[in-house]
Amino acid sequence: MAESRQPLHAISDEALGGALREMGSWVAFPSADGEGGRPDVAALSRARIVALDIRPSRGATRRWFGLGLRPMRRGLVLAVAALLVLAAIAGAIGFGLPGLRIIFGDIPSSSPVASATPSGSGSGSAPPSATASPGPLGSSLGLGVVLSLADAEARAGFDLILPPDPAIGPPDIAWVTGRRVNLVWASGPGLPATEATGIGLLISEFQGHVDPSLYQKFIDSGTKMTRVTVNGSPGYWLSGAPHFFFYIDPEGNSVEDTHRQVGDTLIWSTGEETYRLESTLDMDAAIQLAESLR
Amino acid sequence: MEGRPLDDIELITRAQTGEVMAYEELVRRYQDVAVRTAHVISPDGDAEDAVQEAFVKAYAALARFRVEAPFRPWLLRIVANEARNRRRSAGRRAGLALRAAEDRRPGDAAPSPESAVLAGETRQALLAAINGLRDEDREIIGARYFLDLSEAEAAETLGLPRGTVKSRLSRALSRLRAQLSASDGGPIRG
Repeated sequence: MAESRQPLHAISDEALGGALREMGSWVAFPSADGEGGRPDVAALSRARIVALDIRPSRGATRRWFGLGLRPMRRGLVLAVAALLVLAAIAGAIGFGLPGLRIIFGDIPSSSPVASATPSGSGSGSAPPSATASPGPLGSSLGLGVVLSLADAEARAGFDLILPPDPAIGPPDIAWVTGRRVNLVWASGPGLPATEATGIGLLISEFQGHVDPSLYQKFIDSGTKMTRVTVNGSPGYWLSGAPHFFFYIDPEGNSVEDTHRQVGDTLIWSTGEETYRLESTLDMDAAIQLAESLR
Repeated sequence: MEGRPLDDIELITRAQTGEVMAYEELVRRYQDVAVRTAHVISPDGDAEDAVQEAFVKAYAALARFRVEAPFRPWLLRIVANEARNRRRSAGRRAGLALRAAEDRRPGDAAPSPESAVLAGETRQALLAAINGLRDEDREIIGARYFLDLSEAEAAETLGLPRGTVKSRLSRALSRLRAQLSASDGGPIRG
């Protein structure tokens, strides 16, 4: 104890080591655990491995060098990795790895994520169906708050892209949650209403690198992921059985979009921005629309 | 799979054949020390992201890992390299920080007897001195005292010849004393 009264620089090596050990227990280290129901580092790593279709190999080390060096793919990889993680949380997983056809088991009704809906997220107690929704278009979908298109763009922090086709026109309404912009079109002649949401078209746009887990989707059994490209940018077409839609807000809260089922979805990333497009269009038409966005 | 936890070697062997769930279970055992390692090496970087990336790279390289070798330092070396690659070379750096007293998490060990000795201001002084050190000195001190790695593990993690850990640590402590001495302001100087 007498030693503690000496200046730190004058104490013995042993005592200094003890002081360092003790101080080390006070260092504010980041945590590897997924707090509040979020996946932990091990689960996120595994999701990246699956999303990138990486396998241990003796020779070919090339492909993983690209992971950190090419931001073009990275945003999408993180988004897709995050997308796979929620299924892991809920358990019940079966991977058919080659080609990333991924089949997940049934969704437990009380998954940790589903119960982690934060207060004030806006998802509230909205009904799971859009049909009986009062209020503006898409208000039952948990898409955030309504803003003007200009304000939504300012919030997103980048230039939004829109369909130039006059038959589709500007979005009927723009929702924003965090920095993710959700543009909604009512159903019309060219855009029949989706069974799940009752709207014609939903395009979400956000910066994929803001938070790798910003965008998450819960895939039901039978959902198929197909690799595609959109104007040369990598993407995935999610089709088949309807899947559920969740995301993690910038504060790290899991937000459940009223547990709605969504239909066939195209997701792609230019590197900086990540986009998703949900409609009744088939894969080719969805890609065509996606490629036309300006 | 019969109710007992698989040991590292079984998990590694399975992971080497492409069983990604086995790999997840394996690295979960080391994710805490991995995140801490990344943070010691690159205090201003995103440690969690660096570790995820390192775990992906380690998986890709797993076939070249010799099963009989210790896995933890092999993994930590990949983590350390990833964290170093992300270290900012220039500009202002905040360095390591202390958490507030009330932040002691429920799972943490009770304060050791020495903690009564180290007053808050002493901890701050130590921390400031460590943040004033060169990266190499902070790394070796952190590996031995914050991460509690053995000399052999510290050597492999930091990519040093094993025989040099002791002398490097000793030199790092000397420089730490110099830092402390310069900032002490007390009656005893250098």
